[in-house]
Amino acid sequence: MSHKPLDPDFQEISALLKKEEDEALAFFRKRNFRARLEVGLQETAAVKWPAAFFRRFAGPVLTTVLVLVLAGTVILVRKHRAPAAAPGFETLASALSPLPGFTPSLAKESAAMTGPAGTFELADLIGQALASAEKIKMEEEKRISVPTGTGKVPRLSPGRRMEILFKEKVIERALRLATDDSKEV
Amino acid sequence: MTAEPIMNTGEGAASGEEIMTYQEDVFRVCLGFSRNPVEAEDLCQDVYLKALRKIGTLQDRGALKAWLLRIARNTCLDQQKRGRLFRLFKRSVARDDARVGPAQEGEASARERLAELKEAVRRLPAKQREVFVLREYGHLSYAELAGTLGLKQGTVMSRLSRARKSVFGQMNRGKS
Repeated sequence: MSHKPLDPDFQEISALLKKEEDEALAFFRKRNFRARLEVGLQETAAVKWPAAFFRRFAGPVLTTVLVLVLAGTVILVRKHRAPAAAPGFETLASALSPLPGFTPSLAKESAAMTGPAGTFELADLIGQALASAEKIKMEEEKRISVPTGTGKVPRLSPGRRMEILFKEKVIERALRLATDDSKEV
Repeated sequence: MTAEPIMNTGEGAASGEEIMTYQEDVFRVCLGFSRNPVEAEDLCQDVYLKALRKIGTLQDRGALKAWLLRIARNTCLDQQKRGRLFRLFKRSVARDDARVGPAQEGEASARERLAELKEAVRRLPAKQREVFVLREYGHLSYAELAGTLGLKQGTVMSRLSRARKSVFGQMNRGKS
């Protein structure tokens, strides 16, 4: 060791370091480091491989298993879910009954008829009711003439507005039932 | 020492044997960081286990010593972070004092000074300490130090100079 700039001051420190080092090296040389290292290598080879293996593969394996379990659950739930009950014509008829073009008594008779004849009869009635509702709506729209150029929409009375809203809701409900988009059974 | 290769590393088998020639250098560096021969030996073993595991990744065989000492330095710093070395260091200082018999006055004084030196090195800032340890214990040249620490030689020299001054200052304060 050479300590050019601090040589005179550093001599004691150098001597101390050298002494410490020599003692430690004597201790180190007495021990068979190579043999200890070989033992260490065998131990790490024996103990560490499962840990290393799990550390490396545990993540991907767990993720895959989780995804598979989730996918399986989703498939099973979808497969075994009770099919949504198709709305009967009676339900549709009752939904449409508040409309002006619909005859509840005729619908009741058609529903009572068995076989395809009754079904067709009731379907026809429902179709008629929807068509009549549409017609009424168009007529009402014609009646409410919007003055051109003014940009103003005529004001309707609250009662009238409620009536229009009600009809629209009735039709919407019936259409939802017919398209199987309703939670209503 | 047995003639059998320490580890069958295929093409790197020669390197596996070659790194064994640096065991005392590694031990000295570990001693510098730990200041305890027993702990230094354990650290040295950790360093070799890591090195033998990664020896296949070493491209430049000429840089083997610097590579090995870098592993040693990182292993020691990791251990220091865990606070293990600090505790052992304190214990080793205590043991040094305890070992002194009443009949060996000169020895007692040397032990005391050594304990002061250890304390002075321990108090060095981390960056200065590692340069000091690698230089004084590992006997690395400035170029090797720069390579091991990834620093410029000028930086290494100035850090080492500051570290020495600081150690010397603390030792002198202890003396007075």
